Amino acid sequence: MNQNSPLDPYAVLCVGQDADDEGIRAAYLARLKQFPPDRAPVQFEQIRDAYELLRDRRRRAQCMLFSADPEAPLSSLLTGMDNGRQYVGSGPWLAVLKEKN
Amino acid sequence: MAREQLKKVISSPGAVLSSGKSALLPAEAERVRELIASRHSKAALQMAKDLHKRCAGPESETLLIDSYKARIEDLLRLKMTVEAKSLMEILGERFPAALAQLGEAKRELHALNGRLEEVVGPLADDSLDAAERERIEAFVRQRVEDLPALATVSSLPAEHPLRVAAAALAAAFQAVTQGPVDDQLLALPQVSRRSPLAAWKALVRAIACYYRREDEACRQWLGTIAGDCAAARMIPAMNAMLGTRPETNTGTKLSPAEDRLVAAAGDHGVPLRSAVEALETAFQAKKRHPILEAIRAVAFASQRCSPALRDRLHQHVVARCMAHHIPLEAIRNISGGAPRKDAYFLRLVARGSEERHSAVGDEEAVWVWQQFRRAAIEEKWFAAGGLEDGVLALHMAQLVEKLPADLIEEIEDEESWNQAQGKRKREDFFPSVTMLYERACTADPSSEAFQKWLQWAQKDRDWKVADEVAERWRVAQPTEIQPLLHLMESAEKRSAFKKSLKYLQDAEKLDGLSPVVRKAKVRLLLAASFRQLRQGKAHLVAAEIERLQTVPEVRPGEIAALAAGLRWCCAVIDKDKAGQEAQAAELMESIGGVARHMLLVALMNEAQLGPKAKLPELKAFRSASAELLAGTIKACQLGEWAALTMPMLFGWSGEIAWFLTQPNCPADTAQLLTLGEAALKGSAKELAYAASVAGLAGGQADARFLFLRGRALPDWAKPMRNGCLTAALELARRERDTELAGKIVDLIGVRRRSGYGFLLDTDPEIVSRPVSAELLKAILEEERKANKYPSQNSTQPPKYWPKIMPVPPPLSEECDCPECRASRGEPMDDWDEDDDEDEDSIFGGPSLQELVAGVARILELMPPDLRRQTQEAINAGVDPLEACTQTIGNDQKAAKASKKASRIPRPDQGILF
Repeated sequence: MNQNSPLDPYAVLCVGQDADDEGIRAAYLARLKQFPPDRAPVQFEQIRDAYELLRDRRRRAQCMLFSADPEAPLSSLLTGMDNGRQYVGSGPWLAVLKEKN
Repeated sequence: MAREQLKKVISSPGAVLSSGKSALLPAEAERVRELIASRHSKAALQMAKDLHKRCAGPESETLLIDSYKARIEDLLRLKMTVEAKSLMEILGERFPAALAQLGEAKRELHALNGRLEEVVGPLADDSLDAAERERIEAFVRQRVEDLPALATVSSLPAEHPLRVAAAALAAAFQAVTQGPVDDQLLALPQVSRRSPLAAWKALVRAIACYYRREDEACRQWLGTIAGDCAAARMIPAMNAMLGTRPETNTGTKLSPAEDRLVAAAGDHGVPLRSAVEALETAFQAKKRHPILEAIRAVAFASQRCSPALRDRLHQHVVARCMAHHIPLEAIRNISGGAPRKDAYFLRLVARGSEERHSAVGDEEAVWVWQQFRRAAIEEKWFAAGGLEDGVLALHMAQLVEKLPADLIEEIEDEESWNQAQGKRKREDFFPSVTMLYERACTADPSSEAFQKWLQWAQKDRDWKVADEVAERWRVAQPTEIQPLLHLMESAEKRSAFKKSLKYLQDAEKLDGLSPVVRKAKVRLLLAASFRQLRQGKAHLVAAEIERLQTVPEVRPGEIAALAAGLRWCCAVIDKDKAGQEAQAAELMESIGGVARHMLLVALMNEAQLGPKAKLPELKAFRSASAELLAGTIKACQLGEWAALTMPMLFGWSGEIAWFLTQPNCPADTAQLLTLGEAALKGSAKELAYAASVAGLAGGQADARFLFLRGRALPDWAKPMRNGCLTAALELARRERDTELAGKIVDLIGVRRRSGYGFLLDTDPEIVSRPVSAELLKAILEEERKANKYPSQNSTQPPKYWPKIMPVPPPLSEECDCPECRASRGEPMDDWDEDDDEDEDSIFGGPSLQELVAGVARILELMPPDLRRQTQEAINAGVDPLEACTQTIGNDQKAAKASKKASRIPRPDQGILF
């Protein structure tokens, strides 16, 4: 799995990369509750595959070491980045006007 | 005017000290005006006072008033409102009429003091002079930015248009900066086009367009705002938020408040995404200049991102550029320096090097992984000696294993030299395979790691190397049977049978029922028997036969057959004819004549009975092909299980091969495979091919039959061989038959490591490439139809061959000469200086006789395949020297070029990045 893609096992199970075996299992069970196989079969399969990958320490190590993809789309790094243009109220705008007065 | 001159003027007696009234001299007036113009209003005022004191005329009064005005304006400019006000009062007391000229100054003073009511108050008077009204409105347009204050100014009635407009604008400004607004709010009918607040209307609409991402409309509204309006102060910040590049702005640096506004409300996402997409497009086009320009754009667009994201982007961009062989200096200049060289970056670079799938790439990857390991341990990704360290070491070991022998030698020479010079620390040395496997198996003593180590060690000529690994494995995993089997086989190869049997006993204790152990036992007991038979010690074989009979059978009768065969051999040595006949009869009854014959021949060969033995008569079964086939298969199955090389009945191979192709052939898939493998072992390639024909017709185990066929084909049938092996590997991958895939890869690997590029009859790069379903189907279809063993004269390359043959790389548009490459910053090749053409031009070309002799000599030295290819080319009219060059010279150059091109310098050669 590509660490920069949405199918990153850690992202699928919503755990950090420093999670231990217990943490991974707990996250797996929690995700299963959210996406049971009868209601969300696709997500269930992804969660199960991610758990299979991460529960084995060796495979987890291999994932950590070798799943980085140098050819991954650069746009994947921008996932989650806010789109800006936040509404900030009139204060910062007026501050610009007053500063230049 | 210089300060000294100024003092001179002030202190000149003519202007100041003379008593009595005198006329104002033009020069004096001019001096004052010069001072006013040069903003020395204080000096001008002082001078004007003195002049007026002296002259006291209308001209001096005018001059004085102007000086006062200038001084007041300067004070207001310096925001010294108290002083300005005092001066205004003084002026008003002394020259009341002059106050009317101070309208602007008064407004300025009121504005600075926040007394807007004083500024706009006069507007309430309908009879106000038009010019004055215009001046006040201009002042409001240019200077007033506090709309709420203007909306509530007490000096104007509530329904005054200016108050109404200000109120509407204040509300709209508040709304548009807090959230989405509808068009009704932006209509602002209260603000007319001629209103001094009209520019604010444009600003509010521009802000609304900004948040709606209507950038073009936003720019248009900003363009309607005059530069001297108060609202125009917002334009630079808004341009920055719209992503307008700084070089198109004048006065580009933003103030702190503007910076804060841009950071809070600016859009960092879209410009950056666009720049990143453009960079991706540039990478796909693979043109250097557009890539560098796109990187520049990304660097600019990412300036306002979080530092973490910017760093990460930088690292990825540099890693990609390295994969595209773009010089790092060029990237550094435009992206603002080198990327952060942490474990994350080094991991990216290492993976990028591996993705090149070349010896150079693999070597670079090992160096970088080494650096990654150090950084990762420092950054606490994992602990030294931990599981991850072991997994990494195993991976690195396999990379080093793939490197060609001559490259390893070169590296080892360099390391020895560095070591002798003390130039590098031990930890920076290029890691050896042994060191890496040791680290891997210490950190992660798993079967997988030891298995790989053992596989590598088995390639060493010295058996002790592999045995040592097996012993370590045995210690680490006492319940694992693999190391015992290796040690057993190793001892067997050295004829140390006692030791071998000891290991076998240990293996039996762990898993006596394992088919591998059972097979090994049979093989070992047979080997021991053969040694004794070769030594003529038939009497000792009985004990081995007794032990052999305790091995559980795979197929009924096989152990008994082996035992009978061995007894027959013993009877031969003892010259016991009756014994021979008895055993022969027993074998005839248990396995039939054909199998008996093949088994006895095999045993005779192993026991080296030679002319002593007389085989029982084997009747011809030409009319019973089925029996011939069945017997041969039985013998082959026995031979496979007992690791005996069964001799093929060459006289009847054709018969058997013919029967295999018949629709009523009774052999199943497993039997066909056994027969085929035995035929290959016995050098009966046509029989093996026939087995593959029957197997492919059955439609099962296509991968294995294609693999069989690939090995059974004659040497010159390279296209067909490549096709069969390619399809076999692809099928094995799809069916997840890792054992078969490993065998095919090993086969290619063995041939590759031979080092003789032009002797390869298999192209590893072709065979190991992924294959589409369509091509796979085409190969299978054609191979199923190929029922006859190919003959050199009549066989054409298969129809699928053009689809799998290597495609030559497209011609580069760039000049490849050393000068042009150097100007592009590409590394120079070692052999760039070895230009034989220059030598030829200096020393002159060879004579015709020399040429002919040279070509003949080259042809002599070539292997047969290549010689034939070259001769065909010459016969077709190609220049002899060119024909030789094409077949040999380009291969060598290409191999060298791929090795030397774009090598990352090792740490001792300078900074890696």
